[in-house]
Amino acid sequence: MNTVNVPDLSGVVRALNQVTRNQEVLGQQQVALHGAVSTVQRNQDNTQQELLGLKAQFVEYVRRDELRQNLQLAQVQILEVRGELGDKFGKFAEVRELATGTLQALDAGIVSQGAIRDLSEELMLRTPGYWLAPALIAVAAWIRDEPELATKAIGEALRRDNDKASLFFALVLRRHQRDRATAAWVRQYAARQDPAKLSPEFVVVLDAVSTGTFGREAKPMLLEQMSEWYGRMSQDQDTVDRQVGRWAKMIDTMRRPVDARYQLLPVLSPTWPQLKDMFEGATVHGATEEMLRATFDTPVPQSHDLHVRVDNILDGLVRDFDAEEAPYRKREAWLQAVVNADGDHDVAKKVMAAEDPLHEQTVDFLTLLSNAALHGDRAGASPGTQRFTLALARDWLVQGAGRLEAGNLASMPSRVELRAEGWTGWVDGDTDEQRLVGSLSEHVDRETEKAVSAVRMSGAAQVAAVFGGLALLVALLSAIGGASGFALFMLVVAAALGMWAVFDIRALPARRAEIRRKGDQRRVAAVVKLRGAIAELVDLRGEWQREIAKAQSLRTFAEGLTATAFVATAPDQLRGA
Amino acid sequence: MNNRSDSAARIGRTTGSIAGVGTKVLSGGRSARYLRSLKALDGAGKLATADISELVDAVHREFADKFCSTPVGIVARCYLGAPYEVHTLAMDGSIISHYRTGEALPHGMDRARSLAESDHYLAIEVYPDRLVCVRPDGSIVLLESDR
Repeated sequence: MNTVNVPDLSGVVRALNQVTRNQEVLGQQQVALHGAVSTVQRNQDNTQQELLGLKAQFVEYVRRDELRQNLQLAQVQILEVRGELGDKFGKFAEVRELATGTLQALDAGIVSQGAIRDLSEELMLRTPGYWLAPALIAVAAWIRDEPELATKAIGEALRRDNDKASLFFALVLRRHQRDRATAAWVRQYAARQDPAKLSPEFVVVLDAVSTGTFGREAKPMLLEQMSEWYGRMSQDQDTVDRQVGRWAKMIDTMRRPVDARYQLLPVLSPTWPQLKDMFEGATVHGATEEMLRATFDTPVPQSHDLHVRVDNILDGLVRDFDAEEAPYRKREAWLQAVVNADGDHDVAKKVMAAEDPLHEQTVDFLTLLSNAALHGDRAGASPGTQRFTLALARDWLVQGAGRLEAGNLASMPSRVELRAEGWTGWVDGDTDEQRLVGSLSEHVDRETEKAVSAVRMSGAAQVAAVFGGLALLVALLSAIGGASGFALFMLVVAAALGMWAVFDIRALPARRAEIRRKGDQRRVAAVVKLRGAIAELVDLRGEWQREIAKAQSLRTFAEGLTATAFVATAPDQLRGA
Repeated sequence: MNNRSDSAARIGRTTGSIAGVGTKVLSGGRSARYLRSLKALDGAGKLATADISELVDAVHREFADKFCSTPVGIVARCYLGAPYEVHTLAMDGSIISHYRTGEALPHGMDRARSLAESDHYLAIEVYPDRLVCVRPDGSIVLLESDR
């Protein structure tokens, strides 16, 4: 038996050596394969990052394209609307030009009265229903001393538009310093007005008062009437509330965007939208004060010639306030808002909502003041009137800014959430940066350890080890039982399975080291990001405090404005008026 | 320093009679006397009962003198320190209560809490339909009506 077995065993040893060599090669290949898999993983991570970046760029591109198209469309449409305005109301424009033209020509005395009469009568025929044409005929007739025609024409003008015609005659008379007659026209105009339903042309009255264009009789009368209205309407909490609401809305449109240097906080903090909103909401106070200072610091161009002042106001009266044109003007304003917002409809809608009362047919006195103060030129108010009304509206401005300030303070999140690598932390009043960093590091380390401990013998290798052991046992039993061929076979099987298991175990430390190395990288990167985000949070908070502190300075400035300081004196009353 | 849960029920009853009628809120700045009283209330724990009622009287007079609505309650930041965060003065029973962080304020006064915690305001007056923030200099901000 023994002599037969020796050569057999040497064969088995050779075979085993062969298997060992093969296993070694296999082990090396396995390590190489693992390296390759890690590389693939890294590449995949990079690819994913790049894809995300690409997606963000694409979304940005689509948005920009949409804005560009909106902008182009608005630019084209605004020209169309202006064209329509010209087509439909172009005839009115001729009459308007004639209005101040006639008065100035009469001053200079170089145009014959006949020419003026012919032209005004022709325009009367060409613009049926327009109040200004008969008003001009009345002026021409009055100059020619034809009282009968003048009275008739005045009656017709008043029938067509009582308010505008009254103001027109008051201003024309004032131009010739017929103050008593001016006062009479103004008085009957003012008596007819309902402070709850003023038409937008009342701005002309404000303009005439603030520029001192009305004479010595009309001005105090109007100031008194307006202050009575103001006092009465200010008693009504709802009306005042509406004004305050409008001012708050307007002030809120002055938000400045948060600085682009904040990069980490937006990524790490789910609280970012609130923080951003809070910061931007705080910037309105500084912006409003700048706007106010700019309005009050620029000199108001004020002519010393009474004629020029009256003509400016007359120009405004005949140009700005015709109801038929209102829908077109509103459309024009919308398109202009879109152009101003570079095609952003959301921003434009906000702007239009804030100036909604500007396009209403009748407004209450307080709203009219707000309109003039907020929109100046577009409400038909001169810079002087804008100052005058701003000073009158200062309480609403202060209250509106106060509401925004209170809302901003109340919107402060009680704590700021930060997330990184599946970790969540909160920053509140007494958070310690070191503790947060420690908590994040621990979290990443814990995850790494978990991954490391998950690296163990593969299932197949474990099975191989067990079966290898069993095979060895069977081999021994067979050898004892005398079935040497089978015992040998089982021995070979046991050796092969055992080696497989051994090589699998020998590859484990390398894999664990790789996971630890990656874990360290993750921790370092996450901590850097967290520290950066906390630093940004501290910066943002500092900036926010500086911005919200400007609310006090805005309040002080606005409360220092007094309306009467902005009422100019008429050029013919400068001495001893 | 105790939290009087029964005061909540009483506030509820009194607000019932005020709500529904339009509140006439005292506009314009608050008087120096009123501001002094508000500041003194925080340390009311150390004061005698008579002194407290004098302070509360001053608060009542501020509104009654001008024929304006008296607030349901006044919420202010508590300077007692942790764990107390805000205190309230319920105007019906003139009860001063101090509240801890996270503890809810009764009857509509909770909406004033975040504002009261800010050092921009001395106190927040709570009316049935609106809040009024009182700055340390006596100027006020009427917040939008809730209705």
